[in-house]
Amino acid sequence: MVRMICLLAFAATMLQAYPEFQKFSQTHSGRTVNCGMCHASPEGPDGLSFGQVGSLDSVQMELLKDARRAQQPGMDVNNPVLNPFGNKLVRVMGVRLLVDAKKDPAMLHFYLKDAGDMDGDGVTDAQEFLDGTNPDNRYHGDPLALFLTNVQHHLFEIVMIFMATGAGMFGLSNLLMAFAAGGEGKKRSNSV
Amino acid sequence: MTSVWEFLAERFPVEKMDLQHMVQGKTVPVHRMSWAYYLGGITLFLFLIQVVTGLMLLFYYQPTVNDAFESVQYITEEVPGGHIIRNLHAWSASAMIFFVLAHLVTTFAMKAFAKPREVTWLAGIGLLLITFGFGFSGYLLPWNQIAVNATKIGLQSIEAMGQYLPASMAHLPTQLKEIIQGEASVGQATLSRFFVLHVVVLPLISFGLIGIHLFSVQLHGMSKGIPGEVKRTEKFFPTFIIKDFSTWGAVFFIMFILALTLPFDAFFSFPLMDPYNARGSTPDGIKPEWYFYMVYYPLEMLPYWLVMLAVNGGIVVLLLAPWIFKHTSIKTLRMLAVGFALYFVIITLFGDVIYHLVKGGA
Amino acid sequence: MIIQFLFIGLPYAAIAAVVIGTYYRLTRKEYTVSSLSSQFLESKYLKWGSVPWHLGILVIFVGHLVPFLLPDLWADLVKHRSILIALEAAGFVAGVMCVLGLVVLIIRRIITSTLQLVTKPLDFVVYVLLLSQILLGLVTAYSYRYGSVWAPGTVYAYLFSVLRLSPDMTYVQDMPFVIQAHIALAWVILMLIPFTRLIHMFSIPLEYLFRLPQKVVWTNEVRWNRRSERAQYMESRRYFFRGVAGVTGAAGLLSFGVLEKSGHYFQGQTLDDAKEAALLEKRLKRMKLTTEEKSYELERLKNEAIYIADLKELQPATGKYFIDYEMRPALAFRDAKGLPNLLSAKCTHLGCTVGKDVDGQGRIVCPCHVSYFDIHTGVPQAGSPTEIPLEHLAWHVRASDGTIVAHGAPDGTVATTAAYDAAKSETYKVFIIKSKGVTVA
Repeated sequence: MVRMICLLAFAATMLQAYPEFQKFSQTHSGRTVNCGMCHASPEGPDGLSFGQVGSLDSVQMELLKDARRAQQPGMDVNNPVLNPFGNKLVRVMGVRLLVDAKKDPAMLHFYLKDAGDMDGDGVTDAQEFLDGTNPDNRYHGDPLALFLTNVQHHLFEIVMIFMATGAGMFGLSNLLMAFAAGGEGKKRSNSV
Repeated sequence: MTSVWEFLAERFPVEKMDLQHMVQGKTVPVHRMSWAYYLGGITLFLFLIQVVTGLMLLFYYQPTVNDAFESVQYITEEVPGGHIIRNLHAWSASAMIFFVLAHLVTTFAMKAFAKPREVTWLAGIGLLLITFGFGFSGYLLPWNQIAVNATKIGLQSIEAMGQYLPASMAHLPTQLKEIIQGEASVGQATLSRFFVLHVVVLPLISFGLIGIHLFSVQLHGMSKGIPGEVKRTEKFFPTFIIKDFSTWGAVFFIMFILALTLPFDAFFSFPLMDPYNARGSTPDGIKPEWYFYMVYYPLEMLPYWLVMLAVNGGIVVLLLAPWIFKHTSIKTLRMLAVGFALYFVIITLFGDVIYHLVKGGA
Repeated sequence: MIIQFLFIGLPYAAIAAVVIGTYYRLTRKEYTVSSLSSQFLESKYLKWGSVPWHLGILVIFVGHLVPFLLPDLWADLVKHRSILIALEAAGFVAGVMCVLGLVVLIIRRIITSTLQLVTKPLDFVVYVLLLSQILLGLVTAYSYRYGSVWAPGTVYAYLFSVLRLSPDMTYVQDMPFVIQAHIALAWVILMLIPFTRLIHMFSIPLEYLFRLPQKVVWTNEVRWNRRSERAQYMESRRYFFRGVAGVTGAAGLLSFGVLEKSGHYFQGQTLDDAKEAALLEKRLKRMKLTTEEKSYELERLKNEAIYIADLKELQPATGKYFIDYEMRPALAFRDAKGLPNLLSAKCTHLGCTVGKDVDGQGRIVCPCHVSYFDIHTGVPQAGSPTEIPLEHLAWHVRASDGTIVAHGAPDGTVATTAAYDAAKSETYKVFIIKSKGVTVA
């Protein structure tokens, strides 16, 4: 138990959140950003709730320790207090670079530049960091960028819907005309 | 008592209630303001979209504090086409509010409330308030941070009315708030109540009101809408109705494309889209939906009583418009309408900027 | 050698011939830009030949043009098997229509004596070339199936390379003879356009589609009302058929990609085990949170005092969130004397949760409408949207043996008892206590 508590205290001091990145993303984009961009819990890694250090069992504790040892880029980490984006950062940059980058958070964009787009929404992770949007949610991103990607992606559906709407409107108008013409004919034959 | 009967008899002339008068023989004026005749129809169409997509969402949505957020997420992430349906519901909701307001402003400017169309107008104002009710109650249902916090703020402004009432009545607003809320703070009871309001009560009332509204529109025909004589008319059926349907087609196309390509959530910061957490701090940027800005920003900048007076006064004026503006000319009404439209556009687009200018700092 | 000529020499010769010849004919002999009409000479067979031929060739023309102009759209289209088959079938039917039409036209030329007066030898050449070309196309479509899929990457690539002036015939040189013949013949026909009746394809009366509506006199009001019942019935029927065609078309189009999706919407998603597990995990997490919340509520209903933190955990500059007796958020700080300072964190303005970080002036801020509160008094700064201070909460501090060593009242007053020992504060625990008249929600 004592060991556990020591470990907790140790982990808490070693693995604190890096609010520098959050602040940078927030001021750069003008959007509100919270710890949930990189951490499993939107309230950050410290605490007792789900996804925070205090809630981890021994297996997860091991994972956390492994993740902290990943000083160099390219290590496969699965840190339970980080979300997929946070883990990806550690994988791409390694802890050392990540800590270094705190001094100049814009560097994160540089390191992530070629690291892809994990949610597949057409906006790269690096750009999502600058935009202050959620890199791990394909329905969240810069609206204009999302719109343009999706238009390209769904061109077929859009053309289909366009033709279907056109055909439907054409059909409906003609049915109404038929209805009107029919009604008129009847009216006249009644009055004759 | 007889005057009530007379009033009703004039508004619902039985001798005109046949197909010949209400559909086949009806004509629609053609003039520079004719485009405004389509706004109500578009609103109706968006309402129909809301009904269909809303029913579809009901197949999956679970109105409990525990499951609401997860079920909404399940719809967007897992259900085939689910994000389109949800997105369509969100986009059409906003579009519907927009067209309701445009319809209100234009009908006001065209003096469409004048005798014998008072009932149409009153039903319309009822529908306006209900539409805002839909917006407010529907906002809570996803149970994310912005939903719950914005609802809290909205409900709290009812309570704040208490301080301006005489001491013996000061507790009434709080009671009213708690009746709406169902408990001391926004929780499961609130969610259940808002859910029932959103999917049962308000739809039922709006079906009734839409019935009255459309029936009287057909009964009395379109108002002439411009000062002077109407030079040209077109047949309601099929000429006007075909054009009406064509606008519906265009609206459907635009709405569908938006729903397909532009997630509504992307306009909000993502912490606002987190599940509601009663014990964490409230994230920055809690705001009501854009259509409440016209009340929200004044509330931020002006004394509370002034804004509440203006809002309630505004509703009363709208309700009594057929009698207050009985002898006002269409030109004056147009000016008033343009004034309101300008205010609405400015406060909606630039409310944030104005707020920071007034309050200073960021 | 012959291959080079067919796929590199011939194309450029054809293009040059078309450009120069067409320019010459359009500018010098503009009244001949048409196909000599023979409708007055013979009209019975004409409609059975000309109509199917032109309808068919238009469909085929569009089918050959779209993949050339909009390759991405085309690729998206033929990705769907049902559309691919529909397109191929439409093309094939159109080809058959062309053949039938052409055969009728050729027979008509041959058996009608009056026509032979206006028939030139080149006309027959054109007929034969066109017929062979269509037949080659049909054979291709039949024996090398789904040209819509393979052609864009091969034949069209070759075509683009020709147009880009860097002809690359590797795309086509190893193709089956039928396809090669189809391509080569296409160049020949192209070359002949300016010198034959084919030139009329440049004088399509497109302006009919865009010209302003013209009032046709015989449908004026009087005549309209005088129309016979029969005419009216026919008209209504025509509208009806067009309407049904439109609506059916719309339904058909929607069924590709939209209606099938809405069907799946109700069917729901069949999840694999991993996804199912992830979903369950999420739900369990939420349930745990809810359980936690309910247990807090129960704890508050049953107990007169509730433990919230060790005294040593509390800091002066960063608050610790906890839940007060009314299930509202609250913040715990440590004051200068080392004693707890407990404040409600529910903003007195509109009820948001106040932030936990203390700024340089000893204030915490509510993010919703920027109300600053002094953490010692709870009083909002002048100019904040609210004037009501944050409440202090009643608390006491217990030593490890359970004796109460300090307490605070809702009015903010703090007192220590004789047992208080600052040196032992490491072991002290902070409790909130139920104050009188407070009910739990």
